[in-house]
Amino acid sequence: MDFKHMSHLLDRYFEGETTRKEEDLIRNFYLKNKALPPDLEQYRPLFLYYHQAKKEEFPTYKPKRKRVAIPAMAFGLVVLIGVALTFQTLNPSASEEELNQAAAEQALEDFKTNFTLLSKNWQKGTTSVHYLTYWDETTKEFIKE
Amino acid sequence: MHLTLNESLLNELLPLKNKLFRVAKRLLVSKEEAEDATQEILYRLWNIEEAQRAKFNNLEAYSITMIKNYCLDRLKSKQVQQTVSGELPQAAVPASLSQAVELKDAHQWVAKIINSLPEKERIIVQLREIEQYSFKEISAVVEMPETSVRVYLSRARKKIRTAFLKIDRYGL
Repeated sequence: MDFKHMSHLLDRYFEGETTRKEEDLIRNFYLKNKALPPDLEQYRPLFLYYHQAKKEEFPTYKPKRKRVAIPAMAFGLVVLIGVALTFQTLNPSASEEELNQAAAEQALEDFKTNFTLLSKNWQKGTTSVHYLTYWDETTKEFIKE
Repeated sequence: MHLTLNESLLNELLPLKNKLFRVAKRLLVSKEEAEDATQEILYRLWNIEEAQRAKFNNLEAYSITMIKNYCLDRLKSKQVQQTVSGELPQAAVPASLSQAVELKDAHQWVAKIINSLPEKERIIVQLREIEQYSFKEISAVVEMPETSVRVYLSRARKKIRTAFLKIDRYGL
């Protein structure tokens, strides 16, 4: 197609007078021809954009965050294990017996605190029951009247 | 029986997904919001009663009208928020060569010109230039007579041309 005819067609296009067939013609003209005279060349991005835009699809991938998070967590875990291992090899002073002793003492300590807590709460519970019975009695008196 | 019916619906809806997404993105601009809108409309289409659905002779036109209205509603509620905080968003046609160069990617620049058009013109450009609909199909989707569709389209094309000529004058 000669350029004069095309620029005439473009004029009609911008006036909104072209048919779909003619618009296809324009599009294909730009897809096929390269290095056009400047007055035609200037509209190339427009028709290439329309051509490309039709191919855009609903994104199927899901957030990248997950893919990044798993290796990062794995890396963190490896570093932690590494640090723990080096500490263990650097401090071999504590023998197994000492460790056992410490663990037992710790357990006893835990047991004590747990039971003091339990008894405290038990006390609290019983005092509240007292209040409750008191409440009960007084309300009964009110209702009587 | 029920399964095969749903399967046929699925086969009808899935090819629409990309088209709906493109229309939503043209109106909402944001990709994430367009994704949400598409999913919402697909969900609604999926839940329409079968008897009711049988009444639409054209599911595609119906669904595009649906997403168009949904997006326009979203934009309206957003604009209310924007007017509270300041003035309305202005057309984003690059004012100078340097601005145009900044955008580098020609496609991005064209998209910006189109997205700066008013909503009615934008959706008609999308349906005509990208989805390559006939005037009859467009008039059904946007719910206005063909003559008005033509007027909006030529107005939009002229604006796009002006934007291109403006850049050309600066020698890009």
